[in-house]
Amino acid sequence: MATDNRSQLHCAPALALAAFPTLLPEYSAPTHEAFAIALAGGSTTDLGQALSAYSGIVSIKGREFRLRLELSASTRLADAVVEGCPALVQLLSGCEDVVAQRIKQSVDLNAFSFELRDLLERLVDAADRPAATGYVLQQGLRSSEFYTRVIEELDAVGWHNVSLEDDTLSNIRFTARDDRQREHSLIVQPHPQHPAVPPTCVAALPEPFRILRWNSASSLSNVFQQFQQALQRFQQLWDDLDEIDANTWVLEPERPTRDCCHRRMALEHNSSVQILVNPKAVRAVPECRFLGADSIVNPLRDAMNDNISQWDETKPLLANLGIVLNVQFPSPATVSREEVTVACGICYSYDLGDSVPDKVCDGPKCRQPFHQACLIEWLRGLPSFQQSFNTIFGECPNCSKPMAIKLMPAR
Amino acid sequence: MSMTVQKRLMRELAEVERNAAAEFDLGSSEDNLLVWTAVLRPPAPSLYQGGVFHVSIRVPNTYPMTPPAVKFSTRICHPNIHWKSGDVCLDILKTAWSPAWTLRTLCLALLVLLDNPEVDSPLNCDAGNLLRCGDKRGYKSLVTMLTALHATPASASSSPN
Ligand SMILES: [Zn+2]
Ligand SMILES: [Zn+2]
Repeated sequence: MATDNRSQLHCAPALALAAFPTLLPEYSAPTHEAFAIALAGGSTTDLGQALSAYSGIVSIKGREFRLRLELSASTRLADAVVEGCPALVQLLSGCEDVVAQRIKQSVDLNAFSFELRDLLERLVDAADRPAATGYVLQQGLRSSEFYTRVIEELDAVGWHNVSLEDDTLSNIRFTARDDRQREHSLIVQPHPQHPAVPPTCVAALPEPFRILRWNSASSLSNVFQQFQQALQRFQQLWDDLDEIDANTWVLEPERPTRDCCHRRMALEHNSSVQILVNPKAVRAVPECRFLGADSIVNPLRDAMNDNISQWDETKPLLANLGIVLNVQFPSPATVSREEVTVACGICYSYDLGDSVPDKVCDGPKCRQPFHQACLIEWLRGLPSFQQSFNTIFGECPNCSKPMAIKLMPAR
Repeated sequence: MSMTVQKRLMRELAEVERNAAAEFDLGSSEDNLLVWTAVLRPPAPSLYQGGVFHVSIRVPNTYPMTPPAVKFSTRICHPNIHWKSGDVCLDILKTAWSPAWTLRTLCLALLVLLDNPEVDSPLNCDAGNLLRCGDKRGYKSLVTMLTALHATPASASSSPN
């Protein structure tokens, strides 16, 4: 894109890939592989009609992404605002320009759906096989000047920092080490009109990596330097999270990537605490959510409220959490994973779609965990089933102790 | 078959294989995970000792939300088991069912039932009446005789239809 194109893009605020609000109505899973935009009414081509918002689920290689497209008063597709679920936003991060460009080029919603699907397939492909030559976002013929110039720039970056993902120089991997010798990759996709148009960059960082101050005199070594500088910003975050990963049982995510700021750590008696760390304020009190039997997690919540004044922002997260919650986190060195991931007492598995067995019986001899979905399905079938607002009453299938299950929206 | 049932039954099968018991064998059919067979061998001092009882277990698609259907395929004389059909009258197979039961613990419950009949809900009236009238000796000799006749390896196994 030339610079004049970019200013047009600003006039049409085409993309706000904000995290999707949880208010989304429930959709049944799409039954076919094709891109499905479920409409609020009417057909996808009825753009001139009163319809102003479209939402749906796009299913790519078994992964489902939620998507919402809102038209502004002009009802022109080019002015549409696209919102996606966090997974979609993450997948598209760094490609916002490409989405904006494709939405502008699309004659109607169907055409855009097709374009978006194509783009997502390439991105999922690349995410699944990071080393594969997968996706050329910006198709176009590359000139011999392009190759000469990019190779020269890579010389300047230093080939020990570079690996080529394909033979067309369309995907270049930069590898940098941070202060603690952690390795980080940046995938750089030079534009065919490089350096008139800045390259597209994809990196696993807690905040999107953006190239600053790009002009026609800029080169890939500027990108590499900026990437190294960007790594500096997250050292404390990664130090603290590495300490958590090494010394506690992290139940989610199973394999944390460097862009991931949340952790769910196992506690005793089938309970766990999920923290969400703010990458901009690593050592501030993180957002905490407790999962497990009330008799176990209520005291934890109380402890947190009582001891919050002892939170010391000069200390690492794990130390602070231990003090404030007054707990010892079960450590992988002494406790096996099976002991902290007790399967659901109904379906006998641990993972059920996105959910884990986080409803735990309060009975001191029982403490059997269940998936919310399994437990509700069982309790609904009983004559004694009772519900009041968002709470379901019943008996533990394991020990018959009365249970009250607060319904939480599926995560 | 739903994924939930399949996953759960696979785990139950693994559990059964890990914890083999002397009193019973339990396994699923090779080609259908919803069809299981148990072979009960009540140990001494059971009234039924020496007998080998085949039990067919059919698992519904809604398992473990609903209980499996259980039938004795070997003839057995017991107040709560139908002599001809092999149907079992046991609370946990009906209203007292809970997903906390497994096919393995169900077999244990059947073994317990054999020596702890519930005379007030009989499916076999003759056996039930003997017990209700306090004729323990008569009951014992009837059970021992019929077990030897129908449920020992030597006996030509005559099974209900
Ligand atoms: Zn479950
Ligand atoms: Zn319980």
